[in-house]
Amino acid sequence: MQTKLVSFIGALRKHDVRISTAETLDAMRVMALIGYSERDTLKMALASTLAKTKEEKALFDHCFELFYGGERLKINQANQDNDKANNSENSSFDLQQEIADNPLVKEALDSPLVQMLMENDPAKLTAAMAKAASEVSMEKLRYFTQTGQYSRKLLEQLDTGQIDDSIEQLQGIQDSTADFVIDILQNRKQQLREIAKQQIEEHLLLTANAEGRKLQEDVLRSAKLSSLERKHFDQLQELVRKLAKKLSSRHSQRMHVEKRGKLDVGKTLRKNVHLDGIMFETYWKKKRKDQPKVIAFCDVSNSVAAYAKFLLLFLYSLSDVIPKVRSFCFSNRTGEVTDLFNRYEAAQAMEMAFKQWGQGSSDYGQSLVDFADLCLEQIDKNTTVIILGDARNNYGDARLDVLQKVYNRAKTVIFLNPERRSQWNTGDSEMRRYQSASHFSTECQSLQQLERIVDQLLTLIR
Amino acid sequence: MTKTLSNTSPLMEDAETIRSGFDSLGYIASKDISTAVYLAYHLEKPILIEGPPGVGKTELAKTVSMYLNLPLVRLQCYEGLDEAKALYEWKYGKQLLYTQVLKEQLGDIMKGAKGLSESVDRLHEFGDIFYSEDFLEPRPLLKAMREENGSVLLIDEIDKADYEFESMLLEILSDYQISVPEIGTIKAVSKPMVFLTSNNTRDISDALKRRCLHLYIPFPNGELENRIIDSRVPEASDKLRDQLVEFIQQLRGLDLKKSPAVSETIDWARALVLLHADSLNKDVVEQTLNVILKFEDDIETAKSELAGLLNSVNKNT
Repeated sequence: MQTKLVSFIGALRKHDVRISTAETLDAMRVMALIGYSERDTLKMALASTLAKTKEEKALFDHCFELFYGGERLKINQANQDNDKANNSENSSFDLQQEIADNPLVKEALDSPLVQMLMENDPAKLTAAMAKAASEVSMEKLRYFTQTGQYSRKLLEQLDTGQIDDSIEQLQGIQDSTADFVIDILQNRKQQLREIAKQQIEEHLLLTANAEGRKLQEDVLRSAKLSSLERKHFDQLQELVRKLAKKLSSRHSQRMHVEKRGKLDVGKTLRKNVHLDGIMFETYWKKKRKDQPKVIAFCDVSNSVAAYAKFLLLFLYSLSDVIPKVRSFCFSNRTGEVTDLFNRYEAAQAMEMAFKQWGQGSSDYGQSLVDFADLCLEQIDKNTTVIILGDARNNYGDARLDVLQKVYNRAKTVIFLNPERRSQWNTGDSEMRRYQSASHFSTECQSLQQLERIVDQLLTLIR
Repeated sequence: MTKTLSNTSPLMEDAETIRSGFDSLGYIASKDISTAVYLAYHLEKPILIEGPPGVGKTELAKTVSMYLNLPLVRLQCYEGLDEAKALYEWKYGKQLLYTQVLKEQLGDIMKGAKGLSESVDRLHEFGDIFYSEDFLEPRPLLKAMREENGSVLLIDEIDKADYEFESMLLEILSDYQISVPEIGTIKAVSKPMVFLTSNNTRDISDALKRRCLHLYIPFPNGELENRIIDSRVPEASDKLRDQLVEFIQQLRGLDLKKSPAVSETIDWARALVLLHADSLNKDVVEQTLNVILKFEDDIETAKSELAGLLNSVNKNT
């Protein structure tokens, strides 16, 4: 049972649930304390030691059901109940009797697996299946298409040849009992096949799929965002959340900058009068550290929308470390979308923002003017402005003067351009001019680059 | 397992006993909760309780302390909480007096000492109690460790405290001991039961999570909530209770800034009883909506859905 628990924990780890050795030991103590008799209690108890967030709880539930195959057992039970309903207690008893009376049939059924099938005890069958599964090496099971091959292997391990032998022998006997038994055996064999397939699929879900996903995530991280297909977006969002969490834990745990200021001599003396003026209790002048403000200004016209999506997703996933994010979207006019993000789920908010502001071709000049009208007053020396766009202005008026105003007021202006550096300043791109009014500009093409940028941003503003 | 069972209270025999015990104290616990308490007691591990505000996280610790008849030591966390406020503090005033007393006696001690080195030797012989437990002012955490018969320690809203404070807690939570640099380590007389609560305003560090059992208390389902109201507001008629619980359950399905929690349901039930309402109708609900919803926007949203909500409540009860 202990090895089973350990491999269960292995499966959990593959699903990104972080479990330490200490927690494994705890889980073992829990098992010893609770026992195995009540499945639900055990599940709850293990969950409280192994899964430490709401998300991990969901993963845990998923894995637990797969691993401690409760569902499978239930299916078997249902089958068995059906069987019982079909041929009432009485007739199955008769059958046993008839088999016992008929030495030929009895001999034909004389092999362990067939005996087990005739008894139809789901617990025993599951145990046998699990044993066989542990003997078949499944390290190479990776893809869904392999399930057929591996379930066949599993059945071979169970030695299903015994069933065929029995059936063959039975066919040789011309007898109504034998015919009946053949029917039953055929039926059970089919069931067995299905259980084996299920077992393999579950194994795939438990382990191989998790590995495949990891591989895919690595690919997604370095892929160019605009070339990704829509179907990957859900997965990417998940990934962004994961990366954001990593960043936020790294940055929030950094040691605080010395919080207190100089000694407040006056207050210290006053408060220590009752101690003869000896300065036992010291009081310090407080240094107020203003919370950093981040303002994101994103081009959401078709060419750059994908990047804006992930930048915003990133910023809003970082609410732990940067609590104040205001975001504006533009193509030819600018609008604030902060409220949308506070009210709705990130993905939904994004759809709405893009629908509202993403129409039309980009007009940086007008958008910058709008932007300045909306929030230039709020930009101060604690504010970081992130501008995301390709700076392609359709040969319109660039209005660099507005950006310069922003540049002079803000702590930092960061310009992110999803185009390659070599394509900057070609055609209608105003990148060179905008670059002159930003502290820092860089290309951001993949999630990996985006992650790096946000990491730097955090270092910069905190 | 090396746990000695001699000090195990019969009250903690199994999860079911705990659950019915809590019932009689007016805390209606789900099986998750009683199992977690059972495990925490027997594994001697702290419980980290998470969940939306108002589902009874703090109440659980209070109930356990009542149930086991142990003193409850509560530490409310906030930004800037440090060890002087949470662990211990020196009694500066008394220390000062002590040094003055010492000064007066110094003459007697040093009498007849020849040379500097002998004086210093004598000074060393003299017991140094300047930093000793006599001058230690215990704060909640130290207080909890010093309780003879154990205690229930509630560290409330740990997510509000700084990371440094979280790291400081690690020693206490895993070994039940406190290090005071001037004295050494102080071990718990008997291990307290520790409850930490968090409203999830930020993530708790993995190190802390690893040392705790984790319990997530969600909003209760209809049946559980019905029992809670029954136990907390027995004056409410059966019909009213069924209806208001169903209404709240439906309300949680809406997109609200803050969904009503159990504490709001209880308040609402009390308010309705005060208004002598024996069933829900549109007028009563509209008048009292501000008891369960705390944002103007939410109240607007709920009002616009009111007819539909009441309809389905009437259908389901």
